[in-house]
Amino acid sequence: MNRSSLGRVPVNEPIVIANEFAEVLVEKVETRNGTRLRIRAPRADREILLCPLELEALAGQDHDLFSRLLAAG
Amino acid sequence: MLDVAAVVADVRRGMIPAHVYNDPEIFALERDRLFSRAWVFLAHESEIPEPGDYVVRRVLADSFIVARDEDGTVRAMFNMCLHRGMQVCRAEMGNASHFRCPYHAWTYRNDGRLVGLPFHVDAYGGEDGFAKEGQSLLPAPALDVHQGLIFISLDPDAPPLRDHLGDFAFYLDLYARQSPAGLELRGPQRWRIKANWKIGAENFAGDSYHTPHTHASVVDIGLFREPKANKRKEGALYTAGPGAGTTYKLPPGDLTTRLRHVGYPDEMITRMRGAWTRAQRGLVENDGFMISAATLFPNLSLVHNWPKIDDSGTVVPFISLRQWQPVSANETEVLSWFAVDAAAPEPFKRDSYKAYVMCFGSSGMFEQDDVENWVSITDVAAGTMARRLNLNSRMGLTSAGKPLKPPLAGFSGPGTAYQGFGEFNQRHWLSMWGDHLLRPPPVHTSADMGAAR
Repeated sequence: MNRSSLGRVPVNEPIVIANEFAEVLVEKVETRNGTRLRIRAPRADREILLCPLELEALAGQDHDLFSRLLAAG
Repeated sequence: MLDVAAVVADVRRGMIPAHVYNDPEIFALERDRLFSRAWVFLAHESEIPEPGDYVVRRVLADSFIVARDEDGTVRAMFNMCLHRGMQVCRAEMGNASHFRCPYHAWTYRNDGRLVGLPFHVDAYGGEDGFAKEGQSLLPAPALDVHQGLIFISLDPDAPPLRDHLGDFAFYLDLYARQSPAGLELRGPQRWRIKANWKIGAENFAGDSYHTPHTHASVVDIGLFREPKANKRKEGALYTAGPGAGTTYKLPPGDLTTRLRHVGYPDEMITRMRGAWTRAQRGLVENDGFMISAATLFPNLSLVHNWPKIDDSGTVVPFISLRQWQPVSANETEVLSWFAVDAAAPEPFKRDSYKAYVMCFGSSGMFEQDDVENWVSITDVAAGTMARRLNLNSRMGLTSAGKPLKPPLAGFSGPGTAYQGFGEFNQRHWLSMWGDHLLRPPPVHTSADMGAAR
């Protein structure tokens, strides 16, 4: 098994989500004991691994949250 | 010095000063007096079906983001950042909840609201220096939708779109409402031609006279059986409200037989029967006319033809929307969409698209034939001799200005219709053009963005 040093194993090829403003790669990764969703933004050099609870919280948000996040640049 | 009153007076006599087809002064008047006021088509709702979907379209030099916001509301926003004027969206289409200006990263919701600018406090002292609250991309002064067709006007005092469409809605709906599902559009293909924008608009409004000659090769190769001169002159030309169009005369038969003749499958005919009013059905069933080309003033044209799409002679109809987007006095950007009833069966949509591509779009045979003429007209209209020539646009009139034949009695559609060749429709279009050129430009106010209130 091709296990990374951090113990995260991508399950599939990443899904690319892009428009003229941004590009991210989204993939499901397996850890030893569970699953996370990894969002990578190569151009911005950012990455986050979100757990199911965080994703559930995110699913309950509306776009105002992102307006606030994006307002900071 | 241009004497616009004299030009319009000539046009109203049916004599067109040839230079109007390539004259920067006329073009400036069209920009300031016509496109600053008229309802202009931008997009169809089927091009932005989901929240966040957007397309970028223009009215002359003004770029607009046509977007469906997160609440599903369709908006047209001037595509110019409030800060330094950069075009916020540069892609022609996409999906986004927020737009971010490439220049300094000012960020807008897809409803146009400004949500953020970097270092708002450091750079501006916060709201005191730049009042971000309540700022948004400039909305189109007026926006309205008919049968999914999104129009804007740069005049905030424009009449409601439906009032403007008037009697032409009867004909527009024959194209745009073959079923309650309405149209879906594919495209547009977009390309530029070195021709004045008025020529295409007038051609589609009523030039059945050019079809047998300009498009002779289309008949010769068996692509389309209808344009032969004898058939074409049997068609009716109609003017109604801000539009005008051409029709073909169909062989005898009832509604079903005649719709089958142009290639509609029975399930679509059933839906048309339900979607069209008695008078709309009557145009086909009682009068025997089938809509073909049309122009809605100023620059949206429609076409409905039914070519043969294979060697076995299968006839399939198609609808195309096309816009003559002025670039300059001698250049036009053509936008050509394929349109089809959204409820049509998939095989029909496929075949209808093929029919469209064979006839229209950048590689279509009709398109190729037409544009050669239009480029040539524009070219020679730039010269000094063109200023001495008034083109005759009086076809269908006696020297006294009376119609050669009376209007069709009992025609099912509204407006006025004549059978046979004539330039009634082009004169109707040019008359509206003249009305606009004689009116002073609408008064507008400027908006300070983010200044102290």
